[in-house]
Amino acid sequence: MTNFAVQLCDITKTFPAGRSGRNDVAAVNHINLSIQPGEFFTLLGPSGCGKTTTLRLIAGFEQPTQGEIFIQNQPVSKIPPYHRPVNTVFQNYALFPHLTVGQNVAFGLNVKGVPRHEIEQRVKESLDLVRLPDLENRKPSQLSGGQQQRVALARAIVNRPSVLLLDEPLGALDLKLRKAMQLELKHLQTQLGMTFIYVTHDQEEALTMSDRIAVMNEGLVLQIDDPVTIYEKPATRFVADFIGESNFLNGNIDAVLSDKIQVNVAGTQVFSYWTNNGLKRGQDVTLTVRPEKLKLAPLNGTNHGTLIGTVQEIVYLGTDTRYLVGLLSQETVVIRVQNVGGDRSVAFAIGDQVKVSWFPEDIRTLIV
Amino acid sequence: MTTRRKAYLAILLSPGALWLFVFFVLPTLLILIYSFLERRDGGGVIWNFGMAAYLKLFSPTNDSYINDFLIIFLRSFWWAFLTTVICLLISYPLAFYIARQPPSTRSFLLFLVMIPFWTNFLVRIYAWKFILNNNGLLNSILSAFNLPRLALINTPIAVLIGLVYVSLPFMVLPLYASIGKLDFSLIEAGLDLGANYFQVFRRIFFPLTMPGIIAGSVLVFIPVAGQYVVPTILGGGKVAMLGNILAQQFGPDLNWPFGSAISVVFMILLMMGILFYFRIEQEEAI
Repeated sequence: MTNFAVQLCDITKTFPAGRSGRNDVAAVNHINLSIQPGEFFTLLGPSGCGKTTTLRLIAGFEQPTQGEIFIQNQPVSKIPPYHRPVNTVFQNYALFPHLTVGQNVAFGLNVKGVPRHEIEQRVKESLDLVRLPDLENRKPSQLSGGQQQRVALARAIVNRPSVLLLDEPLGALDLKLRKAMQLELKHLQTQLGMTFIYVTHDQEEALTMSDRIAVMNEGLVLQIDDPVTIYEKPATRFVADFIGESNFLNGNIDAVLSDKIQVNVAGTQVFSYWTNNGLKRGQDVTLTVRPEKLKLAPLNGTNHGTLIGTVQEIVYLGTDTRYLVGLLSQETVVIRVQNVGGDRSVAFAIGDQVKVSWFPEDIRTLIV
Repeated sequence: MTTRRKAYLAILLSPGALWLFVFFVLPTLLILIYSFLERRDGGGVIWNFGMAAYLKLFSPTNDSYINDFLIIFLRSFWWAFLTTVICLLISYPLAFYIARQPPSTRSFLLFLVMIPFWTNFLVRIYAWKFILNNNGLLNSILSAFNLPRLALINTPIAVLIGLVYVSLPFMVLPLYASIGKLDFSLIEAGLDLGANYFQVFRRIFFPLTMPGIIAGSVLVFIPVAGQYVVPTILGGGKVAMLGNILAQQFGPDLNWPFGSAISVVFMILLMMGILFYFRIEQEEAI
């Protein structure tokens, strides 16, 4: 049997509907997850997708309606939160306001009855680890948001849990601090070799830090993959739309070839490499392509796999320029072009007729 | 600008200050002065300064009256303490439960806690007398079930029941205020760090609600220690407290200086207790 840090087997969690009189709500719906030891695993999705409920199920604050959770291959349904080998970094930090920073960090060790000299040493170590020395005697209210965040982190890792659960820990920090903390968290995780399960709604954060990402929506896990696969090969329209920016083109399959399909998009023949078996001629499909994978060219001659359109909007973003192009099919696509040509980079004007093209391997097929 | 603000402040504060001076500071001074004067037969005082009243209070003597008095003194504090502890044990879970309810239920439950204030205090205590009487409501119910009757009225237990009853809202409300302010995610944080429910209560909940516990205890202890009505009605005069003794000095015994001296000593003891309490609270806050 493979050794997993955390395993969720067919977990469902329903909450009573309350006074609204509707049916019970399934916050998490038959999900399966297998998380490797030492992995940085992210649960990514919009608010209400069930990611925080999943984390709370692992921590033991909620009981699954159905299914079993294993931590280090041990079923934990009957184990209360205070006996589980996991620790949580809470979204609002939940620092104890009546205790000093040092007492907060020492809390877990104190209730476990760790000898005093060992507590002192480990508290110091973990405060050093989160780069927060010399603040041991402060109260949480005397710290900045970023410092409180580090205390929450130190308070959790000082217990050396086998799994660290992080519930949007950077949500309350400003952008610059958040960016810095993302890298720091990733370094810390590598350094400690600890399993991190990280909940966020920020797709960029997920891509930056994770070994693997589980994209969730409406209580379902839509795709579990490494960041590159999630971004480059989204499994569903939701994943393609939620992570990064995507263009969607609706079409109908004209021909299924050995390694690609030929799709009719508003009268234009478009090729797409595909991996899903079972596609048939005449079937409706949605093609998806990232804005930076599209190329713009002036209208002269026609090519295969190109669409004709009119530039409707130009947004200059510094590193690149974002064009909104209206196609003949009434659909619009977004194209990002890197500004490599200095001040002559923006080569088109609003109203220009343009040709939109791409490499066939950059366009993905989603079944409608 | 600042002088104008000071003038406004003085105007706004003067009604309260005047009230406090006339109805608190002056009477307190009066009692303090009376306690150093001599008794006049038939009530009032003779303006001869001395320590007679205090000497009577503290001199070791075989006078059974004085011994009774010391017992009553100690009993008043002991009962006030017991009442405070019982109120705390009843009110803490109750306040916790109320604080965890949805807002509409919460206001309704708080309304129920305060509803007794709408009925006259004496009427409520007399109601208890009818409940606890030898042929009262409680004993009627007990005998209906063929259970032995309880002789509660005019016993310390009846007095204690009455004291707890009148004090309960004063404990529930400050506790509720302080529990309601608490961030309940701290419970999860505690459990997450390996503390069981008892440890979470002792290490997180209890210290964080200390201000409410202290406020409630002070609000219960002080009035109870000086209670007059409850021991008179439910104790039937057999179980006296400080209030009864004071009433006796200013009433039948007509010994105003001695009554004043008792008041002064009582006040000093209570103030010492309160200062000690607030010291604990401040240490908790550091």
